[in-house]
Amino acid sequence: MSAIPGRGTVRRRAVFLGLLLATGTWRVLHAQPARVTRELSEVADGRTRAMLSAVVRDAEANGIPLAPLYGKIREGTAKQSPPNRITDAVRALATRLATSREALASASSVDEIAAGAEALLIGVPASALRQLRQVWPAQLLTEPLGVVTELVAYGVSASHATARVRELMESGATNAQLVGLSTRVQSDIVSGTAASAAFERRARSAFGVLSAQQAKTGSSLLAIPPRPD
Amino acid sequence: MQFGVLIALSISTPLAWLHAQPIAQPIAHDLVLELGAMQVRQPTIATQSGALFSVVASGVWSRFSADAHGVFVNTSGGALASQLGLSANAAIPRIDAARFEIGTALTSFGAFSNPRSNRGTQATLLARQHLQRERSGVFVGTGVGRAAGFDRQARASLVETGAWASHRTLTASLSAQRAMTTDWLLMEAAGYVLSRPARAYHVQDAALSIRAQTSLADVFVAHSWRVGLGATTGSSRALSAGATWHAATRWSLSFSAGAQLADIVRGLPESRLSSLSVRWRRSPSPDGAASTRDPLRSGILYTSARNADLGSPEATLEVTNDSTALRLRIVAAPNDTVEVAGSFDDWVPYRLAVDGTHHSARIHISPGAHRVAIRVNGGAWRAPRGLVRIADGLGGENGVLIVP
Repeated sequence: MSAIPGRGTVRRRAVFLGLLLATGTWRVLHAQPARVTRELSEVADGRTRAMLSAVVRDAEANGIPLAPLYGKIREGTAKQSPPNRITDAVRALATRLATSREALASASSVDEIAAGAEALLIGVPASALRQLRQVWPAQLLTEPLGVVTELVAYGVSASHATARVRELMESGATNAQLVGLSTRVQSDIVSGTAASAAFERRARSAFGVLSAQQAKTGSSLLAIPPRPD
Repeated sequence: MQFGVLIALSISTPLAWLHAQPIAQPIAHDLVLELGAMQVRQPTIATQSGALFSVVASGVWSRFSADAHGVFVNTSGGALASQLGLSANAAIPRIDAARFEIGTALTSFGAFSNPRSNRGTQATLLARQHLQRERSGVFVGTGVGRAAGFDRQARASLVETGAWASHRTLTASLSAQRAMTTDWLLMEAAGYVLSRPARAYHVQDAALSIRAQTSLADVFVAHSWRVGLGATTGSSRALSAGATWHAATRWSLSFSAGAQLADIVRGLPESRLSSLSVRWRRSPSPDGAASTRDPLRSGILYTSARNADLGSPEATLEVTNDSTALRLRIVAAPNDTVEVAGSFDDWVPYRLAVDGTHHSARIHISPGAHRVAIRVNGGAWRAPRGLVRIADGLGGENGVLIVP
């Protein structure tokens, strides 16, 4: 026959459980504000903290990843940027993250969405993100988007960069090959070559390599050789 | 003048490749050979045709580049002209945008029929100081020349200034030059006379050039104007154009035609010429500004190569089989404070260690896209040299780092 707890024991357990629940509830109720507060603790200006908190909460409500926003806040405080610039930058980033998420589809990773937002910042249109997603529907686009961003930063037009990177991806280029291409383009630009000319030349070489690889493995070759814009 | 030869100077743009690509070796070499035919017409000489051959060897180090060139022209009349030259570029310490360029050349004219007669030699020294960023730059320069032979001696000098800017495939440059020369033969052949006794001829030049570079071809157009100053009377102008077709990775075909004003410092006469040549380049990389080298422009310091970034790279990637590290090496005084921050460490500023005349750090980087910035003594954050720059949205810039 099991022992039946006495009234005192039940009362103590109830109090204990109540305290436990209350603490947990408190933690749940204050989890988001506590995290926001921690990220913003370096922002000295109270008004800016409040504005940034609102931006972050709105982003979370819309399903936008918060890590890039917190990263931008940390970057702004580390660089001791003026409060209004930090707010504007975070707000603009939130907008770009939303656009990037929509263009890359909701199953994208945080890094991928952030890479898309960076590409949008430098002038790559959302349609370009969608095009790359169509080529690699299941593979992460973090590196290809980073390469497109780099190329546009060098001076290659967004349309040219997107078109060639997409074609290279369709031809089986790996992330390492795309990153290597960008590196060689940079060295050519340093030597005095116009960005678009350097990129087109390197892209052609890359197509040649990919064609040779495909021929070796018996895969189908490119039907149409690449042409400059 | 016994010689009717105009030298088509194959002038390799000094590469001034003053920082290495992140993963490649910092030293580069190249060799360019050119073989072609030309036709030249001068005011007092019958039109002549001839063959030209040139060789240019160039080398690039971390903060210095140099090239040597040799050009040889032989006309149907048996005249021979040759030029040997050296030019170099050097980065200016601690001034990112500054580059010093210097060149010297020895030009010789003569005739095969009688090598001992009708031989002239011109020695030239030119120097330029550049200030430039990725897509624009300015420069000031000076030059001197000494001519001997053809029963006379002459001296010349110039001062110049100019600017250039590029947008996508186009590069435009504008320059102004003031020159003097005692070579009366050169100037009178070009139609300039002294209205009163004077020690030298003085002229003012202006030049405009536009170049387009694509993966298939480079095209240029250049126009020059000249007017006499002081006792020197006369004026002239010259228009030239050319194109280079990149037929293959190492081969290109160049054509150019037009007029050239008398080159004051190098002693080259005013002329009209056309040329067609084939160029072979040892390095498979795309020919840079040198691909639009205009054989009509007898300038050692021709294009003043555009450089995206000068000075040794401050940031390089070290890639091994299982990891990638960002190596930073910043030139700063030992008591300076150099910090780095980036997305790879949540933007927590990290102070670099002092290493002689550098501040350095080696940071392991995970795969992905990263942003990095550095600052010195609490100053403005900037992208380290060697990485492409991108706006940070905060009014500054970051370096971009992609690790596959």
